[in-house]
Amino acid sequence: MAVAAARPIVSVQTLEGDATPTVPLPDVMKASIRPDIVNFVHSNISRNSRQPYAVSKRAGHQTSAESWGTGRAVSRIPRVPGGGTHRAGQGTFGNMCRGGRMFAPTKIWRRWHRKINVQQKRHAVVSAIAASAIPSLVQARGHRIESVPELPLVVSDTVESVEKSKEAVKILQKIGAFTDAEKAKLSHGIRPGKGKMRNRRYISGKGPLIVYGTEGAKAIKAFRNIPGVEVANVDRLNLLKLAPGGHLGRFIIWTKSAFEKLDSIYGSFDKASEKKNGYLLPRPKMINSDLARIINSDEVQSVVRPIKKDVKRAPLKKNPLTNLNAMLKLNPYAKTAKRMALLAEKQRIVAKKEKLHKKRNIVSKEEASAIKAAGKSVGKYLCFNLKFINIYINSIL
Amino acid sequence: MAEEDSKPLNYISEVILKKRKNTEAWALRKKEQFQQKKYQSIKKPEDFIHEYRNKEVDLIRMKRRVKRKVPEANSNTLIIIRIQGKKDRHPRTRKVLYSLGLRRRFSAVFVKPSEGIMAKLQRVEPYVTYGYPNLKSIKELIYKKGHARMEQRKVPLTDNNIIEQELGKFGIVCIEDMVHQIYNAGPHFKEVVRFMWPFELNKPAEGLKGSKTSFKEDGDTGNREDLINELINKMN
Repeated sequence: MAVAAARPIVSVQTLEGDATPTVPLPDVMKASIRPDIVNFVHSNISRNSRQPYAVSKRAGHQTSAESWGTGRAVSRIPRVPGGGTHRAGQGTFGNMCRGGRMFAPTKIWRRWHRKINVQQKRHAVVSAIAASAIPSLVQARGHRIESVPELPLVVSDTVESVEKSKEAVKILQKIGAFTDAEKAKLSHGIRPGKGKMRNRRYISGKGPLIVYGTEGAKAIKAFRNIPGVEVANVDRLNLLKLAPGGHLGRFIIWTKSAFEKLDSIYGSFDKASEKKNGYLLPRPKMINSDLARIINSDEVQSVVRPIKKDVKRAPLKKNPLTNLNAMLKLNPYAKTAKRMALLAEKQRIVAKKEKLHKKRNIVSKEEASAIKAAGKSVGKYLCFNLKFINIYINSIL
Repeated sequence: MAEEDSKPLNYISEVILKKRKNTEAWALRKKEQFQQKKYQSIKKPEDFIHEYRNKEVDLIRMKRRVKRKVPEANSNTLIIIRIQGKKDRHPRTRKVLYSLGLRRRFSAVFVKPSEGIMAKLQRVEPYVTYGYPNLKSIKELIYKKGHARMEQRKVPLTDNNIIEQELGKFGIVCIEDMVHQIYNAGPHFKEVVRFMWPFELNKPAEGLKGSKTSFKEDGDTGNREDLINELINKMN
């Protein structure tokens, strides 16, 4: 039973009167549920009631048959001697022959029984008791508990003094448990398979299990003959009754005295049992294995750091020499400088074009004559120079 | 006619020939693989001896170089670029390189040429090259490769606010102020250089020969004077 769902107090169902006394929930109801252990222990306990059986060691050999050998156009199987009947000449001894022995005849020296550790058995019983306190597991096993007021179901000790089955049925009807017994009765049927001829002809479902606490209670005879109902003493709980077939979730009806004895019989998680020497209830590794619930609980969420929602990322560095926006971010004057450079370049181009145009332009006739006149004056100057040079040379000579 | 005894011919079994061929092919393949193996997993003792001797020789050369005259610089600012020195280098040399801020190959820093700096440069001359940067080189380096050093973290200079927060108390509020301080070796040159992370330049496609000889003697190292700007342009 999950600890979160465990109730510390259980009501006792009284048959008369309005008072509802309560009893504390024993720790055994909170033990961990181990279907694997229950299944294993149940299988091994079931084997311990077996009795040895085998085929007769003489079966198939009670004849003096011999093989005819070769040369007769028949197989070499041993054949019955004699004549006069159709038995003579028939094959025998072999497992494929009619009247022969079986292959590998079974022997009585099998390993019939199993040793089970005491601790393991106790763990299994405790697990089955804990599972019987969980309504969903009991319903999953197939019990009808819709009318039951509470689980685990505890009734007063007056039930133990009931002597008549008629009264027992009334009690079951009053606490809502008779529906389950009726279902078990209606499930009576013939067993499928060869068990019919092996003394296992009829099958029937299981109903409620009555657990009493007083030795020699009269209720044993009152309840045990009701179809589907079983009875057990709290000091001697049997796993084959608590978990029939190895399946957890038997519907159990406890008497008050039996319920109160559970603590002393099985102990608790930190105190040993009084009846079973040194036994402590098994403790799970995790009390609550619901990890999502643990993480989202207030105790955990109040100490963790809040979600870091603002993620800082380093800014991407662009190349300002090629990316104008990055350049303007660092140097706003770069725009002005670039514009001035462009204008200066444009001015330079215009000036150069103008200069070229001036050089290539066609001049008018007046300008041409003026240029020619200027050329002539230059020519005179050159002639004068030549004369001077001649004079100089002649003087030297 | 007399019958002669027939003798079998001398021949080699084809299985043996095939095996021989496979063995030779395998040997050739193995040899090629061995030659292509660039990184030896085992370092031989000769390599250790060679390395230690080179380090010792490096120290001896440094001690001799120190006795020479300290070189001079005819500029306000120097830029030093480390171009060599991953191994075969004495720990004392490494210490000097680290004190200049040149912790890795092709890293560069600006310095003001003082006597101490020139003495350090003399010690590590075979591993660095330096020269006189012009305004264009300084500007382009700082704009493109400038990073700030903030709490031992390398922060790119993407905004003038970074500079104003750190250097605003010196009157330096933008990247142009930094360029001005470095080009003119202004009064806050030291603060600006400390503020900047050493530049991490690219390996030049050409321009370096891998030589430890001086630039004046057709090598890579030493003072390049104004020609350092060509190298910076290639490495930026």
